[in-house]
Amino acid sequence: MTKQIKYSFILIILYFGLEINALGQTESQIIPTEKKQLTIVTEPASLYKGFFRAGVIGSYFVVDKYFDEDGNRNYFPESTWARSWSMYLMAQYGITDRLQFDLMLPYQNEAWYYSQLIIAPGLDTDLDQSWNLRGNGLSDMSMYLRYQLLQENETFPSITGEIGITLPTGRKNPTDIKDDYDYKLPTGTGEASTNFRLLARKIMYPYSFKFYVDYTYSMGGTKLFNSYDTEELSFKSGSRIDFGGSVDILLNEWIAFTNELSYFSYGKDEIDEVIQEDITSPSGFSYEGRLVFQIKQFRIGEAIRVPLKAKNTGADPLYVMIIQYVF
Amino acid sequence: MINSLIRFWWISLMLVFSWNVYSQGDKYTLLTEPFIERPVSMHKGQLQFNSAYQISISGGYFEDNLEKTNLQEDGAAVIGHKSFLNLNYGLFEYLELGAEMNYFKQGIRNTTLYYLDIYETVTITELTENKGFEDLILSGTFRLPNNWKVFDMALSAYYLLPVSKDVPDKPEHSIESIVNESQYTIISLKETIRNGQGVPSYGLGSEFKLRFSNFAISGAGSFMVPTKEGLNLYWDQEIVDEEFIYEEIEYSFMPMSRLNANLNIHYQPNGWFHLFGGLNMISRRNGWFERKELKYAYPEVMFYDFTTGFEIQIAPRIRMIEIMKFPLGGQNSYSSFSIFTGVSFNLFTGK
Repeated sequence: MTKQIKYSFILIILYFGLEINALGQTESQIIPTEKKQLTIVTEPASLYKGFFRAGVIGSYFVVDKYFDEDGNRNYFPESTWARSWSMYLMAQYGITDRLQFDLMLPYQNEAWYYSQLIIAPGLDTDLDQSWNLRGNGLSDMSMYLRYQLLQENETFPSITGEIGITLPTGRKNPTDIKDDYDYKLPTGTGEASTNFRLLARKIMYPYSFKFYVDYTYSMGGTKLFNSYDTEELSFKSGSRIDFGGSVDILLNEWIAFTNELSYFSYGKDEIDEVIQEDITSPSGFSYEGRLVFQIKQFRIGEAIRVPLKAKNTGADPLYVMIIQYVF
Repeated sequence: MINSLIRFWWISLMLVFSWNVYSQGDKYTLLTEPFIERPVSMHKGQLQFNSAYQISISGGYFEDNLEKTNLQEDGAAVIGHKSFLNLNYGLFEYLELGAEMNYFKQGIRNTTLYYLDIYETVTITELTENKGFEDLILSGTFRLPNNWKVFDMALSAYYLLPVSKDVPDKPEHSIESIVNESQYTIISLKETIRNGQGVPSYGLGSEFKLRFSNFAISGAGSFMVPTKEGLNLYWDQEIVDEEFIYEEIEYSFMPMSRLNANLNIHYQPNGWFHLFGGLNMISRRNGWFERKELKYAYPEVMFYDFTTGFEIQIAPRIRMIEIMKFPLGGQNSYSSFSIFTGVSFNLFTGK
């Protein structure tokens, strides 16, 4: 009887041992097609070696309100508004399982509207004027290299370092200037910049958590600040720091809902070698909610970024649509 | 005896277990019911919480003569933000109770005016803000107990409770004078209007759904009329010594009657996704207000748009709805393009 119990006990241990091994083997045997279909919550911090992801990111926003220097949300009081949409062609490539290269090629389309009615009783004149300034074309392209410094394991999150460079490929100056109020808007910033990011990420199925800090250093350049300027002025944008975190959840096997809270702050700009001390640099908190659908190798996402509290910056929501495919 | 007790206990346990499995499965089936099969009202015990956000970009205005004025070109496009909150509960299989209260905000700018003369430049900017909760609308919906597979219909009664603020805020106009070589004066006019109606309204409505395989046609119509005249305030204003002086003046008014209708075609390719498109109509009429013992009619409002969107079942209890609305025509209304994003959370109360 005792022998039988011992024998059964050994068999049970063996059975569980084999099952654990089998489970472990199953986990490491994800076929490439399944790897390409991983969701934004379950995928690793960088693309697998040899995987190529291409897609389009579209964004749209209007300019209707702003945060003033004291952090109050106000409407623009004058009869003016603007709208902007951008379309990014993006490509990502997994050089190794830990090293990824990204390329972002943006096309920008902006329109700015303003009108005024001038009444000059002394001259017996009424003048109804309106301007519609537009600008479209290639904006500033960016490239990034992302490396998983630490790969995620059961205890620790993955730590990823990223270095990026943005080149001033967009038109930096107003063009086709007919007068002070009739010209084409620029589509670029006119300066190169580089940025560094550190990202920690932990998957706790069906959740994943992210924390990041990002620093952007602008290298400066020259440009016409106004359509009536006769010569370009040197300038250098203030450095920017971003940090934030997100909680992502899989609502089912193919839909993820992500929630990101972030903060940004600019340093002081420099124009014509003079630091703009009197101007409050933009800073603020924002929330971004995203729904991301993973349909086989397609990824379709929709996001809304809402500024929560800020200083000296826009106060309108930003809409983003994403379509990607992993080859 | 002990064996009988054990057997009885096992049978009871199995029965309870199978009942739980049955009820869970039943609830799951009802929660994940495809749109086309879903009745036009809640099931008994179903609690539904709907929340949504809509951004509207009004680049034009349909004038009284039905012609469209381009607001974009005037720098006066209007951006509206609306948050929807709605709660429905199936009291019985054929009787639903509901409550809805929305928040709306938009800023309307007028063309900036410059008055110029030899000695002085005066700039006048004008902003009217609509801000605040709309009134609470309670509803009761009775679904016809026909249980036909092809046709479903419900009748609703509405009551608007004027719980939201309706008195406009005291204006925040300002005058700023700058004197250097010339004199510059900037006059900023800012008024804030609240979204409460101030007067109860009641109404009736009906909706139907006609099902054909993977397709359906749905429609709804409702009207609401105010129960009585109301009293509100407006702010009379004058400039004294470069300062605005305001005076509250009471006036009587009759809110406008509301008529809404829509007709949609739905396509359900699978159980968790459905596409739809259709027409939507809003009409407001018959209201008036009094100023200095004279009655003025509110201009009649009409607006038509084309709506298209989809609904996705993203979890057994959660559905997501995305709608885009394109303006087709109207009268005394903004020509608004809107993006609506909503989430519907459903559960069953009780066992």
